[in-house]
Amino acid sequence: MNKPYSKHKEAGHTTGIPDLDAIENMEGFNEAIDHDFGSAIDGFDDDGLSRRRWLQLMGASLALGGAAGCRFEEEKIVPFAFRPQGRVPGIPEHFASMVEFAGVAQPVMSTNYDGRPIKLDGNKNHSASEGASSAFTQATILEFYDPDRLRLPLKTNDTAKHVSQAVSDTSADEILNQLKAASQDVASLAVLAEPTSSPSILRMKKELEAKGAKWFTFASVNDDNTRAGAKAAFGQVVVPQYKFENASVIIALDCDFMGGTDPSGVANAIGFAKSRDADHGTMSRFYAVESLFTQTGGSADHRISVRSGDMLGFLGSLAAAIDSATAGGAVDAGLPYRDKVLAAMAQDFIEHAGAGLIAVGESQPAEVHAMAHHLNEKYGNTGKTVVFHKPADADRDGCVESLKKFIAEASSFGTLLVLGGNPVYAASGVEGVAEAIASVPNSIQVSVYRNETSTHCKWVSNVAHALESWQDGTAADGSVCVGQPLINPLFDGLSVLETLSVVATGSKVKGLDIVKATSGLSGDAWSQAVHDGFITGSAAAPADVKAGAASVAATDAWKSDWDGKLEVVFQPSRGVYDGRYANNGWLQELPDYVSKHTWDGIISVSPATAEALGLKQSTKATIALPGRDGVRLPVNVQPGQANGTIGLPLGYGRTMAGRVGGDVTNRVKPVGNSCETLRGADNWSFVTGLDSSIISGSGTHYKLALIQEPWTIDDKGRNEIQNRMFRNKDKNESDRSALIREGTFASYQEFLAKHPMDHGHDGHHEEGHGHEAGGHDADHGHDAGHSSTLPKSTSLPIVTNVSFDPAAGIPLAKKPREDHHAEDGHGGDGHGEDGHGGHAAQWPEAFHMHHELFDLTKGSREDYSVENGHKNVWGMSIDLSKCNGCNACVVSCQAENNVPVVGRAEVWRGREMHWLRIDRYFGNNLYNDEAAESDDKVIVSQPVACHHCENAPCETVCPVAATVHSREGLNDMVYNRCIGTRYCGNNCPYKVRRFNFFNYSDAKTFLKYPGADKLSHGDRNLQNLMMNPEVSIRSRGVMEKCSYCVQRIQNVKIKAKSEGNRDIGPNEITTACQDACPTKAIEFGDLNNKGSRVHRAHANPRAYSMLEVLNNRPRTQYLAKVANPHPALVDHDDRASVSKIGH
Amino acid sequence: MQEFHFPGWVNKFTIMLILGGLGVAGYLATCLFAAIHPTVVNVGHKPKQPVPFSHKLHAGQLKLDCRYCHNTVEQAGHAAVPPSATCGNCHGGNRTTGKMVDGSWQTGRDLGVIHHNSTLLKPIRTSLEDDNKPVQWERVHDLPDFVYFNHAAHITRGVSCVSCHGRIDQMEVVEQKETLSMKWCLDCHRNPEPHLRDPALVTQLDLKIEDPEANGKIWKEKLNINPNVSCSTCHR
Repeated sequence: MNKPYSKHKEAGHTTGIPDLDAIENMEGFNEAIDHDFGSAIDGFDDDGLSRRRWLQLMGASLALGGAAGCRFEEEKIVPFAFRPQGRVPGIPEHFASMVEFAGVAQPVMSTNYDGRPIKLDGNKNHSASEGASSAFTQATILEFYDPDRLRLPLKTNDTAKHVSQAVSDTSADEILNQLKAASQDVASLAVLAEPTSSPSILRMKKELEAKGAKWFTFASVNDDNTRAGAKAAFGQVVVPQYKFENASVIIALDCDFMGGTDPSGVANAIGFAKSRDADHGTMSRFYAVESLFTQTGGSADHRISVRSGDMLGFLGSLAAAIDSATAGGAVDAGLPYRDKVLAAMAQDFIEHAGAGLIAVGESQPAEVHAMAHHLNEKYGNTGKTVVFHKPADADRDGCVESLKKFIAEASSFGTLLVLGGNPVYAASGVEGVAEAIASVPNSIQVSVYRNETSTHCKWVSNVAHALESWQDGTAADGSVCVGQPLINPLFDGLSVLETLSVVATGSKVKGLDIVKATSGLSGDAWSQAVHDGFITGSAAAPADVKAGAASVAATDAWKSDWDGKLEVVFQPSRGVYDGRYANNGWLQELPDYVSKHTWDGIISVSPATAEALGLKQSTKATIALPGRDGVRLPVNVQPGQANGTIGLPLGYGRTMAGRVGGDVTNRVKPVGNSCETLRGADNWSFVTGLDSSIISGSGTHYKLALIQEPWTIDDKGRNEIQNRMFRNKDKNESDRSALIREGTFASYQEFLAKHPMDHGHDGHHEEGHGHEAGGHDADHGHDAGHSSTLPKSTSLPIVTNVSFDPAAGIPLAKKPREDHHAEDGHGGDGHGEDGHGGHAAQWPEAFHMHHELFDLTKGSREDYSVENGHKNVWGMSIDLSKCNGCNACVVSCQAENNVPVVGRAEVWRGREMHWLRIDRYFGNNLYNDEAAESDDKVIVSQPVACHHCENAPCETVCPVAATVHSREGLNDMVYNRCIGTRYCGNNCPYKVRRFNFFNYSDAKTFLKYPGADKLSHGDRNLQNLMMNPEVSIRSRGVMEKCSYCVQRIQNVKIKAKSEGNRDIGPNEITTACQDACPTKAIEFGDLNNKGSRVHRAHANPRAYSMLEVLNNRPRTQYLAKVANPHPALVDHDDRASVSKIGH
Repeated sequence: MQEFHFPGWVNKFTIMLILGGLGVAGYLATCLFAAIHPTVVNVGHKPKQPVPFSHKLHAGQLKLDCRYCHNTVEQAGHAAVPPSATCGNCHGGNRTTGKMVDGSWQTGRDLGVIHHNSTLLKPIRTSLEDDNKPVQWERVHDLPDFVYFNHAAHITRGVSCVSCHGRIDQMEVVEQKETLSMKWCLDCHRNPEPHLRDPALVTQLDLKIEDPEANGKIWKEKLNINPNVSCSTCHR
């Protein structure tokens, strides 16, 4: 960091005041200064602009600004010589394709703008995606345009100055010659590849193996345990496909099945959301038992933390409890809390035989998997909630075993083909990997990037990116996907398939021909498969498997107090996975789901463990496993984690990733430190039985770039947030319901019985909501009486123009659409049972607004009703019951709206630019005091973007009207008017406005190598290709924020108009975040269109707006979270406090 | 030492200096304002094109419809300058490939290619012979990058080409006629009637309408035109 206070020293001359200098150089001084004055402009990132440089730039820009005044830069129009048929310049095209992640094909639909892919979404027609995608899939587009991608083949021992530039001019022909030479002697060939489900690659693998080649498979994050567990249970290698949509009781053991790091995560999240549709009376119960806090565990109804090493014993206890439970039995209320949870689990599991599911995570050893398969089969769940597929590569060894074999046999090979992956980095804890690779006389790495493995190979081939090549793969449901190239290779290069074809046949076969031949399709069937992105009906029938008997001894370790022994659990990082995304700025800056940290690998420990070990939040600690060198990492104290478990991230500390992830030869500091070195072949997932000497905290403060906490200004601010937490029972409901609302499924069922909901489908008018309105005639008359003076709204979701009259009772949140129902004569007797009368029924009932405290009679500044000439009124709803915090929406938004990456130092200063953030609120179990006392935490994730308030506080403070309301109620941000006062950001209660402190899109501030003046012209152009041309690039000094994807709104509006002035479909416009969401938690549309899903969502009794008391009238409404705790584990729920309202 | 006092006339001088300074500043500001005013900067912009294509000849005398070349104008934001192949339809050569057979005088004449040997059309022929080597045209009407104008939205709603581009059919060399400033856009969005007509007639640049206002009113009703003046209509 270029600190202003250390300038003198760096400049190499003294100031003449030695004392001051000495103070400045004292350890900790700069740290303290920076901590106190952290937000002073002291430079951009660790290696970017210093303050002096910044001032120089400012001066230069002014001077140039004067000189370039005469006319806008003249532009050229460069049309095609021959425009392809059907191509309309400026109209995006969509192509189905696929990307493979961790050996599972992810069906995608790309958006191509003028021939270049700018966005990847899920394929709507494929059941494993339904249009949704993961954060990794979304971020693939940034990787594709990464300037650090290999542009030329490399011959090693060259010292390339930049990763992307090969000094040696090795032509592609030479690589081709090398491959051809390899094809002459296939018998001495070894291939070290990543696991893949690609039928074409596997076909060529067979061909090569038939000729005597050896094929080894390795990936740092793999499914070895899952496969070994299946083999133990079924006698053959099969992989489970979970059918959560059929499940009523889900028990997950260390299983992050919805997490981004699970290659089937999207499909699982879709199924899980389907099993929890409270509005339609479907609600599964989800128990999570895990050591680290996973994304999946955060969504649990009951979550207990159990060390990974004790999971086997826990499963033994569970199996014993299940066997001894009887249907209709009761859970003994006198049991200790953890036993009670176990009993409830067992009770639920047998009562829902056939609809129960025990899912085990990859980190658990084979016997845990085998036992779970046994239990699932015994209680009739196999075939219903879980089916098994024989994977395409069932015959391969486990990854770690395969790697060990490779190391042992390496000396016997003549040629080695390293097909993707980065084994030297990923297996740096396994002895002899680098040496084994280097020992092969001729080695060719086939890679998109130069990485740590490259220096040990003789040749590096710049393989065509997945988006540039024909490919195929098997999706989560076993169906075969076909991937077409979305663009010609940017830097030439053979694709993986073409490379293999040269080795196998001696000459290059086109990727298209390979994939087509594998598919066995031709003619229309082939065209259809390419068009669809998958072969319809290709999903294999589930394997017919029978689990053998298994038994596991029950233990008490999981429930007894922590004995002080430690275990270390390795987990793929939620940002960079196994390190492959280290050079991806979007993913580095993506906040971790639980800890909300960015740009770092962290040690996570539970609060009790931290205390016992003397570790503090945001300090550095050194962890060393027996016989291994220590690794220094920052500490994050993680509530809800099992005591004694130390979580270590994989994928950080890349030394040869690129200008983002780290490149030591070019002085780019690696992001985080590598824990791979601690990971031995025998302890791949976790290491148990360690004592406290393995870890020692240094106590030095470390600036961890956290996203959520910095928004808390001080202790007072933090307390205020605490006061607004729903779990804070001491506070009144108005306060604590301001941010999050939650209640139990039982109470919601009870509520719905009293106020039935109408489940209209699209296009169906919601007449049936009269019951919900409960609008009294008297109340209606009351409204009518005021309609002449107060604007009457039909779109406002929260509080309408009900004036407060104490005699008529307390007017609570009343929804405008109900005015109509009252007019329609649907006025019922209301839900007089709570004595309020005349207001909408909202759930949870305890959280009703107490409007007697606030004068909310003024309504909106503008009447957005159809009658007042407002045709379309845009709004959004976010269902907290469905959101699992997967971050896909955040990256999708970033891709769609050209949101810049700001770097670690800027995030630390709270200057991140995400238009959409996901707030996560930890909480104790709300419904059970015993649980509240334990460490068993759950999470509510709340995506927050601009709420487009009708009474927007930001607009009233802008001195230049740079943020104003559109006719459709959008809170427009006009970049060209903005002068950067940042008043709007300060006045926004949701803190969703982002300020461009730098010109992030400028070549000088773009991520570049240290010492480089600016991004080279070519690199810059490459980055420009990725930008969405529909969205302005913002420059320094302006505010920006979520626009509800206004470019999409406008384009659909224009399309509808030019197609004969038709109406816009009720759900025709989707936002980028909505598209990405696997659980369909986000809905967007026209609130004035009664057929739209968002209109229905706003009419849902669970709908509320954040910080309702401010009367901002946000257009984004949240639907309260519905939890489904076991009745025996509920002391009190939201119904309990209804009676306490007292009026 | 005697204290120094400014003489009395300095007071007067100070005021004059301030007023003069303000005057000069005002003068410079006015000059700057005038110099960068869209009327000065934009109107009359008339760049030289690589091929001196005459709209006067093609659209005016030969009465080619605008959409023969600008054929995406009803579907897309861009009116799309046509690909070289469109020129090649008349000036190219082989109708099936769109290429000159061998570029020779003889073949071109035999195929009935118009101006087969014109040196002015050489860039077009080069583009057609050398696959996908585009002609680089100079942009005449250039909006700032933060403005999203959509041709389809206007053409399909009865705004004629002539409203923004002037009488292109009378221009030998195309030049900018209107300022294309934000005020100019808003003038029409606030009062669209004078510029509305039957969408079928938008490319008839010489159409005489007796009472444009009254005619526009009819089409405004008919097409339910209600132009938006919200910021996000054009700025995203």
